[in-house]
Amino acid sequence: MKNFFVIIVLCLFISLQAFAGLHVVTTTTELAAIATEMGGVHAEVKSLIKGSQDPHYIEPKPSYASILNKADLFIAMGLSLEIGWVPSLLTQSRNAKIQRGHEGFIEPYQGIRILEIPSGVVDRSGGDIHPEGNPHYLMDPRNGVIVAKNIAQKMAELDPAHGDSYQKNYEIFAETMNHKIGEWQRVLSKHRGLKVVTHHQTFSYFADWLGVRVLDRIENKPGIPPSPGHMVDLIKLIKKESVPLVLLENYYDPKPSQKLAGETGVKVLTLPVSVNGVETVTTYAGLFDYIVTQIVGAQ
Amino acid sequence: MFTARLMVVLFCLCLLFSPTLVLAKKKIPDQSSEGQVLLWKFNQTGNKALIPDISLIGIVSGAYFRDDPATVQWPNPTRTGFNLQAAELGIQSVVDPYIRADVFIHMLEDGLEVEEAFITTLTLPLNLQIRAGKFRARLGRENTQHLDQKHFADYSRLRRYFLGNEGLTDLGAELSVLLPVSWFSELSFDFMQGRNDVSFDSPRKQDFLYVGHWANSFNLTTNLTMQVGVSGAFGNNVTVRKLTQIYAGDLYLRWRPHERRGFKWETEYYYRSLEGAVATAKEGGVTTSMVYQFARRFEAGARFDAIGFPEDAFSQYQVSPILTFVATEFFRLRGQYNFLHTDGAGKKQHEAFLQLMFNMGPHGAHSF
Repeated sequence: MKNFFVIIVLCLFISLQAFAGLHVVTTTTELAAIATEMGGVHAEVKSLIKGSQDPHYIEPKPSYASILNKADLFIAMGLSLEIGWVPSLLTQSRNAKIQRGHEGFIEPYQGIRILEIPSGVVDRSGGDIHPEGNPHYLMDPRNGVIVAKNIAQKMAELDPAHGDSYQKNYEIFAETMNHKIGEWQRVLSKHRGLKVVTHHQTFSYFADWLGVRVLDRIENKPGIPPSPGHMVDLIKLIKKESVPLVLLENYYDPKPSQKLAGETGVKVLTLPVSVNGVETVTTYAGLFDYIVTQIVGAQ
Repeated sequence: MFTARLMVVLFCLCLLFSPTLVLAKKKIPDQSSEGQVLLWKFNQTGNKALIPDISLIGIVSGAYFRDDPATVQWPNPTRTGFNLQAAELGIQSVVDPYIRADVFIHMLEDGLEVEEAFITTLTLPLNLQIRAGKFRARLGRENTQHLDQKHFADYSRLRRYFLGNEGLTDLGAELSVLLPVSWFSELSFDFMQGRNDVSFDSPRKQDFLYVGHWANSFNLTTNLTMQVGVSGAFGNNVTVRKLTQIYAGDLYLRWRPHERRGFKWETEYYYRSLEGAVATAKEGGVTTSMVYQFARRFEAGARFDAIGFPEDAFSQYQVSPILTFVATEFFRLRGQYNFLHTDGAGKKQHEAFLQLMFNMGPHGAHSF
């Protein structure tokens, strides 16, 4: 009986880290998808949240701290997207490597042109704003290539023995993505100037990439549900400008969009904005395949 | 005294083996060196980048008491009319590569009070962590919560009866460890001064307070999380050389399919053995609350507190329904009614609160 107890205790305490490569943890699934392609067989990648969750409003579950405790590299979007839940998890993780400023922490937006950096008086009268700019930069696949390069470089820095492999993975990824970016641009070129209303600012980078015109947003202030007055304004705008589409991120409340559809006849396109946001989207390129196909199909 | 020495030895050992000391000897990468990716840099510039996060949470309430409380009971509402329950100033920052600091100052109607002020190590080996300063003891779950974390306008009768209005907050040091198992399992040991005028307040300088807590958390499904904890506090009370022991069990269930729906069930039990000059009082109590978020901006719930399991000389129960309007993450309004029955008190007590809470600045997330 005593031996049995010892075996049980040993089993509990034997680390589950049988994998010998880099243990990578990301906040979002799109970062995880890119990191998986960069790491290849040398990295095991986990995302803390699901693709169907709004990354602004995550509760820091204790299990996240346990996952971070075993990480060699932690990748977060940054730009205050995860400010409400990541800092306390980093403290709780007790992992020296991935603390902010240490070797295993990265916010991979270096080299990206950040949009919608607020100017003038920056306070919360403007809603739940991000003072450093819009953090949804991965909605432009060209930024995904930059992020992939930054992640691959960081992996090479942490695991120089496989540096060539990470570089090669990046080159394959960049080549594939650049080819697909050309295809998506070609397919959507005839929709340039398409007028849309979106729920949140998630589609700003996407719109900037393809020349889609976001005339207004259902959340006229980020993070705050629309007022009745703003809904009236939106109805007028959609009718006046003959807006054909409302783009709705699939983790947001569908009721305001449905109301707009009921009042104006505008089509509501509910879209995933993260990898695994719907079951069929399992890669970063797959996310754009899905979105582009849906937009083309809606026209 | 043995425990105090043990803590000192453990602290020294941790510092000795800390990998960060090795890290400090490494060459810090040059920001401008080619191919180097220094991506933890912010868009902050100049001295602003070094300013700690400063926040202020104001909690104001309008209250009705059938009979006003005989004594003040801050930070709970304490009189019929207007109450400034607290204005909590938070100053939080990473101090250096090895520690972070969190300071919370309560500005009350009649003065200032340091609610918490502690440092937390970030880089100790073996999954260890030390907190030192003034902090809330990890006894049960509710004692660790600030008022702004609560889904009710006041603290439970359980906490107020066994630990006082302000709870068990004291100067001391804490050693905790994240156990290397596949679920979240955290063991902590608090070594504290022992100043709590309800259960621990020994007049002897050599009497300290010891608190142990073991928390475990499990994801039952993707959206359902359970946390269970057991804890105990041991120290002498105001009667010389007489021991107080408090044992606590806490259970928390959280269901959250998305940000517009959610359910929380928190339950906590305390058992206290308090030795007196003549006899030992053995008392227990429970608090249990359920809160359902039924829309993005609304949540409703109720709390039930009961003292008298087992019963000594005091028996009491309270029922408290609430309705909260969460305008934004930073502003909320809450209505609460308390029905309080105390054995032998004659009249039933009725209380009603309308509480307003606002948050300015970046206030660090509280633990789960």
